[in-house]
Amino acid sequence: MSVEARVVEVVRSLLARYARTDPVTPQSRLYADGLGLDSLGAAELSTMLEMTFGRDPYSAGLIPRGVDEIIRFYETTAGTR
Amino acid sequence: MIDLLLDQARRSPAAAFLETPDRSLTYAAAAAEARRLGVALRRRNLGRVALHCHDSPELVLLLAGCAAAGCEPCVVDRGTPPAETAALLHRLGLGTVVTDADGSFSAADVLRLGDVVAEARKLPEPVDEIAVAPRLLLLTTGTTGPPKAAVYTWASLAAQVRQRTALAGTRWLLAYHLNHFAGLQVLLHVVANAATLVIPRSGRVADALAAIVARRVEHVSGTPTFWRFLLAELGTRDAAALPLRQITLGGEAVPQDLLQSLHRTFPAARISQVFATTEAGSCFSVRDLEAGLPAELVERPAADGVELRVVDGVLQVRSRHGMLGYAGEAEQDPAAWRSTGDVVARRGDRYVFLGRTTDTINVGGAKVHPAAVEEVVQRVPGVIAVRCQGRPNPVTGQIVAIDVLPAEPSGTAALETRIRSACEALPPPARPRLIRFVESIDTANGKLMRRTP
Repeated sequence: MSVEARVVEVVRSLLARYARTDPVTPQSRLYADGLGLDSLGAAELSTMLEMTFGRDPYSAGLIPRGVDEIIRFYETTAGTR
Repeated sequence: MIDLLLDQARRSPAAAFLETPDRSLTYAAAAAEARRLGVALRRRNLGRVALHCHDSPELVLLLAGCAAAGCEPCVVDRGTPPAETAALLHRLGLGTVVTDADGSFSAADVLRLGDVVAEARKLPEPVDEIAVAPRLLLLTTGTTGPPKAAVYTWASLAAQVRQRTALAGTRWLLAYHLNHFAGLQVLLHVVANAATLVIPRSGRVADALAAIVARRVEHVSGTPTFWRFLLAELGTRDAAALPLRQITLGGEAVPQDLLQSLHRTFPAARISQVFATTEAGSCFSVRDLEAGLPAELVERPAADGVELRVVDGVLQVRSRHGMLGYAGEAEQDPAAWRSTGDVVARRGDRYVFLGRTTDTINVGGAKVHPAAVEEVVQRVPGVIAVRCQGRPNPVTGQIVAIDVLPAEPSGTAALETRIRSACEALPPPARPRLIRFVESIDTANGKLMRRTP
């Protein structure tokens, strides 16, 4: 599975926990202007990404605004698994 | 301790004092052996001595022997590796250790338990020569730093024990280790009432259950975690096979659902919640099957030498029977209030326990108490046990994470959905953001161990 597909799947899984079925694409925005994640949602997303990839962009000091930025983080940094 | 033992040996020499799966010891035999051990220890002119032994009749007799000899015993966790134990002994200034292990303890003078017992058994029946006001050391759990040693007199511990004629001959389980305050309290209750202490084969709940059935144990005191696992171990077996008359819970916050489960399972048993700390000793006991403590206990004047108050949401205690102080430090003012470290909240006419100050999880500035989360998750069908703790998070500082021991290893996806649904009743910061299903949950002396995952 590609990095893009895995990231999209993580975000979908997060939304599914709250019975949401919003479409998720690399262009999806994460916060109020898109999927509506608040700080707790972002915290949960960072944990899910860490559990999936071994590291996450938030812990690297980034605040990704969209799914595409998360994908880019994993595509351009070493250490994914 | 030794006075009580000798007293019972005079009154009820043939009564059973200690029982294990393999042997039993009467009060008369135990007293004779403890007196010989006292002589053997006195000959060695020991001061403070660490006892690094499994829970056993020998350890009980060694404690009594120390009291007779006037040396100050400190039972240390037998599960701790020798190297770690050696560092602890060095820090506490305990130069001698009696152990049933094979390892070395670096600087400590090591006495093998078997050798000490054999030496004592060669002695003639000693003339009673009992030390005046003997002391002992009790290790704190060390949740906020390295363990400290609380100094007590045996008399102050014994003063916290009630003697009742009706308890003579009753049978008690040792479900706590003897290196903890609660384990010693159970032992002292037994000796003070000429009862029998049943020592299970190990600290495993399955062995405790086997001992209860095989040895017809009626009194069991354990942590809520112990009781939770005992109910799970009991499963669909007939609870009537357990002749329990007294169920006591302490050491952790007691959830309401557990009280109800125990009452349903053992309707004939009296159920008590006790509150005690290593430093303050026993504080109170309630039997009304309601979680927490009646507010009147906090607001009343001193009763039985114990006063309680709540300051900034944390329970404080002042006790006449508390420790003298920590080893290596000045004796403490008995009139001083001590924080118990327990966070409480007023709910109607009760104070409920929310958790430990050290366990509080900070989620983006919101304080979350693990016990409140665990109580919600524990009620979900299919959950045997749960442990809640904080997990570092780059966005909110911490998030709530839970480890769940499921009743069935398969089907955890559906269980996770039910847990998340149940947790919607919690404020958003308190909802678990990480749920992990585990095959076991670590405990220490029957309490959940909380560690940052």
